[in-house]
Amino acid sequence: MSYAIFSHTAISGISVVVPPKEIDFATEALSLGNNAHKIRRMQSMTGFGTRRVVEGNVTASDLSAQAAAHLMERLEIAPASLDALVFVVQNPDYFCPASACIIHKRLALPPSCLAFDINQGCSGYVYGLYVASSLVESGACKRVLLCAGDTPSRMTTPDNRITAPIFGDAGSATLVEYSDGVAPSYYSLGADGSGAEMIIIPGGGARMPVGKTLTECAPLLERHTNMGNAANLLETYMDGLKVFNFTLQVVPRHIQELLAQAGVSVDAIDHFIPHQANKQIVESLASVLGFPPEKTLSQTFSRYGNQTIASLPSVMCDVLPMVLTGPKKRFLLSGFGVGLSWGSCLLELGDMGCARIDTYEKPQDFEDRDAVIARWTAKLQGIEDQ
Amino acid sequence: MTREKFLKKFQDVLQRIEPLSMEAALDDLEEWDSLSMMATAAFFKTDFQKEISPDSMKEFVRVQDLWTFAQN
Repeated sequence: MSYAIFSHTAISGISVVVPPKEIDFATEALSLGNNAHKIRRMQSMTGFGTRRVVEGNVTASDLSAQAAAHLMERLEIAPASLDALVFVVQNPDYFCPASACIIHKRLALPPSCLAFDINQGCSGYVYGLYVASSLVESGACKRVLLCAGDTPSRMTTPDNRITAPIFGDAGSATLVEYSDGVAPSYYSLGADGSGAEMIIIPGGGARMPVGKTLTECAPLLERHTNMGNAANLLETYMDGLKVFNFTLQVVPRHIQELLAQAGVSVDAIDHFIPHQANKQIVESLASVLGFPPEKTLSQTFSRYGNQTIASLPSVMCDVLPMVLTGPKKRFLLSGFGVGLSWGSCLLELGDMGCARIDTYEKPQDFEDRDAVIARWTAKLQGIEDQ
Repeated sequence: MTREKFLKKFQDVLQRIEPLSMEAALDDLEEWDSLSMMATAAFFKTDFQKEISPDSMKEFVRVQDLWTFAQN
């Protein structure tokens, strides 16, 4: 495990944006042929109620840039004061450039502000906080904007019964900056690449390229059915039981080691915020670690689904405005999943710029897919330059 | 935990309406799906401090097999 202690970094604010389109779990499950008893049972076990998904070609960078704009406006942060923009994302706008550069442009950040992506999933928010804090602690940056968001709904289809009903989309922005006199924050991160294929999108990258002709594309688009569940090679594959097993075997031990490193007991933690995978995982993890339900901040998955990278900031925006009153409180954040990878951190947080979750509004200059294709077609034909 | 309590608790874990018997074959239960397997793994971890790997989960044939594993 990689441990770190940061003594001069503060989280000054968080914003989250979700798309307006809401899908109801029960309605969707009914349309897939499930009976009422089975739907009640599934909802009771997973805790899923509704989720928000993007439409058209709205991307994770769109959601996260809007979250960042809200945050900067609320905290009165001048673009020129930002030294770095880090974007944690798994569904980028393009293979290149980094989506962080797209957000950089959208926010009109100065050339002195560096920008790069981190490809990480459900552990990604903690990975991002770790990288942002490292940049600050090293003295390289005073102020880092951490964006973390994804559109996992894009990587599945309605008849993929394993992944489709689970995922919700969201974008977030967190301001990490230098501060004297803050309580130390403790981090622990890890990975186990032997589990790389437990959660994976097998096609579409360089290992299994989409192909340059329609014939080459066909095997990747072909749908395969297994026990009533249909999927193709461009969708998220997840071995739920193995991932669940990993969560119960590896994550509690990793958290206990972090607490031991920090010299903090479970009793001394005010709020435990685990990745909002589903009710079963959240409750099982809390139970194994000994966190009582009242200390375990959850239920965000019931309104927004499993928001992967953005699930931790979503919980924070969902509940922190209510719990962050009075003296500072100690929070334990834990993310885990694709990789396999995991990361947890122990933070002391007080009153800060943490707004309720906002709904995405498409900007007036938004280009839909057809407009993007037309613009690029013209560019390739040299029409745009004439 | 007694046999009776185990059966009742496992019935709750599966979110099954009808009572269970030790002889019931897991594959014959409508509720025995991937969600139930996860819930069963969590049940064993929290109530018996036992870990069930995904591969060994498939080796359990009857409810009795789970009860035997819980006791060992």
